[in-house]
Amino acid sequence: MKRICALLCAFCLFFSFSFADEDKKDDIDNEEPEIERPRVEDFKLNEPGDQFIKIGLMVTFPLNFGGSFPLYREGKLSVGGAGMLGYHRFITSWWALGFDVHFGYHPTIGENIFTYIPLMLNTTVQPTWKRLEFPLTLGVGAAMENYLSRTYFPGLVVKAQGGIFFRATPSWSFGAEGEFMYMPQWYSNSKYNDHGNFASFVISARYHF
Amino acid sequence: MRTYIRKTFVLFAAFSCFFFLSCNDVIFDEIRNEVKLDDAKVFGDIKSIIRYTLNGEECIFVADGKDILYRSVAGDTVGQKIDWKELPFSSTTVYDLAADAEYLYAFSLSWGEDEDGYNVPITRSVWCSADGSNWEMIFEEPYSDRTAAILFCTNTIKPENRHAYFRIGSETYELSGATKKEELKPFSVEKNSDYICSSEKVDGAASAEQNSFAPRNCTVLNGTVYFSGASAIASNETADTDATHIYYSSGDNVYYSSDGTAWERVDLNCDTILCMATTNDYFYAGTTEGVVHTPWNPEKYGVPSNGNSDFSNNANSALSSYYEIQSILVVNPEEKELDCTIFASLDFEGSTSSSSANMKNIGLWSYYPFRSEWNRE
Repeated sequence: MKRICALLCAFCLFFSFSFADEDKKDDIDNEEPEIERPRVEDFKLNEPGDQFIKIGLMVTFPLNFGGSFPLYREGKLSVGGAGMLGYHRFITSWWALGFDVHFGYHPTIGENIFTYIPLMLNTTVQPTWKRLEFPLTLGVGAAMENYLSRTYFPGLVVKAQGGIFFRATPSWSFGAEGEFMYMPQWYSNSKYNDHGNFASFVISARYHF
Repeated sequence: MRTYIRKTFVLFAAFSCFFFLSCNDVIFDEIRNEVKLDDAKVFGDIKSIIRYTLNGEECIFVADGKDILYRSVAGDTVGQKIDWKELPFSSTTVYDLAADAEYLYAFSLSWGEDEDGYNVPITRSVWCSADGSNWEMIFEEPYSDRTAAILFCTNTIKPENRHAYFRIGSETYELSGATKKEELKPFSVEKNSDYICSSEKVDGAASAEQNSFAPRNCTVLNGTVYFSGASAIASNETADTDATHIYYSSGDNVYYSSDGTAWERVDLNCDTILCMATTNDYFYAGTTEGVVHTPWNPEKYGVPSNGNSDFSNNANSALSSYYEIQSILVVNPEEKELDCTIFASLDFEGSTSSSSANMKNIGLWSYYPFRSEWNRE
């Protein structure tokens, strides 16, 4: 009996060495370091506080003065053009506020010129996908409108704009937009009340900072 | 605190601009009245549009700075757009025209080079013709820019009231066909009270003691010719009725009288008036900045209303504020405005680079009832 117990103890002692724990210190030295890869969904083209300056050139079509696309030669107003300059600031990564000013003109059928300078406050929602940006803008403001020696100021201006931009570099994006502008004219004598509907195609460049 | 005050001030200044600088002129509605313009056939520096009966046919004449052009306004031709014809004339450039009951008169300049090689007027002359083909010189002298020379006439619709005059310096002559200037008697006119219009002729040229002025225009009331130093003078004579009132302008004021002695004033609230005309329902004034019209005062016959009213056609955009209206003629003033045939001559001051005017618009414009629009003639 004593021999059996001694044999069992020796047996347990012998096999205990077979099942010894691993050396943790050696495992840590041999372990490959973990690399924390950035998550793709954390990268945004724009962050709150980002700003951009936008310049653009547009061709503008008068929609409710007669004539037909594209030149509207037979209408009271013909196709015209405008330049645009604006500033926007991102409040969130997808929403920006800003303002822009246009300098536009249209020839009339009587060989005169109608000019307008609207200054508008804009709100822009801009989803993005990879390096593409899709700004959708609503703007409201006031315009100085001139024709012969006549002036209409301040004239209400409302616009809706949508487009696509490609972020070529972190500082520059280029794109095109379509725009619809509504310019009413209201008078104390309501028989003179009128409005202008204008559609524009815009080529723009934006400087981001 | 300072920042708050500064921001408040800036906001207040910005909003104030909208109130103090606001203008509400009609624009889109006016643009919709515009029409496609014809190519001009009668263009140039047209000083006056003259009535004259040529070979028994009532016509109107213009001098475009080069030639004499005319067209019939007799019978049904009044409301028709017909071609203008050229009247043969021997001199180089015709500057102005006048007419009386029998003769058509032309004031012309001949040109040559000065010692520096510049093209300058050399002589000025007055010619007359009874048939539009044969011209006879009645006056000629070397050109001088120190002495004014003006040809003017009553230009009435009734031929028996037409008289023509020529003033050179302070000497005014009533023209009488082929009678040479040397055989004509000069006369002066005196100021009529505080106004500058008078019918009283005094033999001889004006002297320093006389309360006279240099007439530039004239018209007829009750068979008497009234002279004025004003830029514009007119009467409300029609083919059917004699004039009941005569009018002359000073600035944007129109002075009117029914007897030539007592004058009253209305203010058209426009720019300086250069010419005037009447229709059955409106009083027209061509100004240094476009054309205006005002309805007759409903309580006083023959009296224009104060201020001016909107046009129902494209007159504002055609005879726009970019241009001076040198002369205006209503062919048939007994009709309402929209049934009249009206001619107007446009010019502008300055250069095309400093003005918004278009050289293509300088010349004669017309309104015909059949098309209800103003367009280049």
